Amino acid sequence: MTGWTTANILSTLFGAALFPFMIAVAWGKMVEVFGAAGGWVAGFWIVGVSWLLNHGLGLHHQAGDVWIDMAMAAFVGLFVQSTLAGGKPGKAVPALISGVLGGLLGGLILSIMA
Amino acid sequence: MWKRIIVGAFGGAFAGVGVFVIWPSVLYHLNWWGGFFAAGTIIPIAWFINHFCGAIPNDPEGSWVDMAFPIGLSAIFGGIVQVTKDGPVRAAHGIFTGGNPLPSMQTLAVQFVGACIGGLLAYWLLSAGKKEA
Repeated sequence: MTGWTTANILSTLFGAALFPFMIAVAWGKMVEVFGAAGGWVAGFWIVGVSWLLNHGLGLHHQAGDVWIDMAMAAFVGLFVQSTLAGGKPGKAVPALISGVLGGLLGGLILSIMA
Repeated sequence: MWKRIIVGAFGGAFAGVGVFVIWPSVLYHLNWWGGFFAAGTIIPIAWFINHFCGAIPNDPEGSWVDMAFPIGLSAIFGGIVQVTKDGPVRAAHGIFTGGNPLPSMQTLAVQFVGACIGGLLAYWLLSAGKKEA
């Protein structure tokens, strides 16, 4: 762990915990109360504030050149939360496969754009 | 099922490309407030298609796979493209463009621990009142 200060580790831990926590707690509730429009607002506000803290203002310490986005924290945190709440990891396999393929396809497009 | 997987991959790639082109580009032109508003530009429509309309084939009984997964992988594989006044510029390398992912695994590891903590805290809050925790 070269180049990491204690502050880097703590701020990355905190930022990574914050994002999936906000999504799990607030996003579903917003949809429950306001329907799809609630999800629209949640997508703006939760992700906007998270981005501002994690990347805009730098809670997430980037140790290498390859960008580790706060999105990976959202995926891990929500997978953990939904599994604790009774979701079966085995039944998530098709979605996981489509996620990996989507990441490869998205990465391919991004790699040829510039 | 393979049709749903292909549709999910397409939806995930849309979210991934959208995030890592629009976000850094709006950030370049409008600074922090641009980054904040970039969230509202791409994330709601990506969420609507991937989760509300169900492009990503999540099983109701399965653990949740968020569109964040293909989004995060897109940056790891393809890096970040920032469209400046001089045209598209590479802002970060991904594995496909020759970036070395190994040092970044440190960030991924620390982030993994933090994300598990966040997921656990959310579970504690959401399960409170349903049963004695």
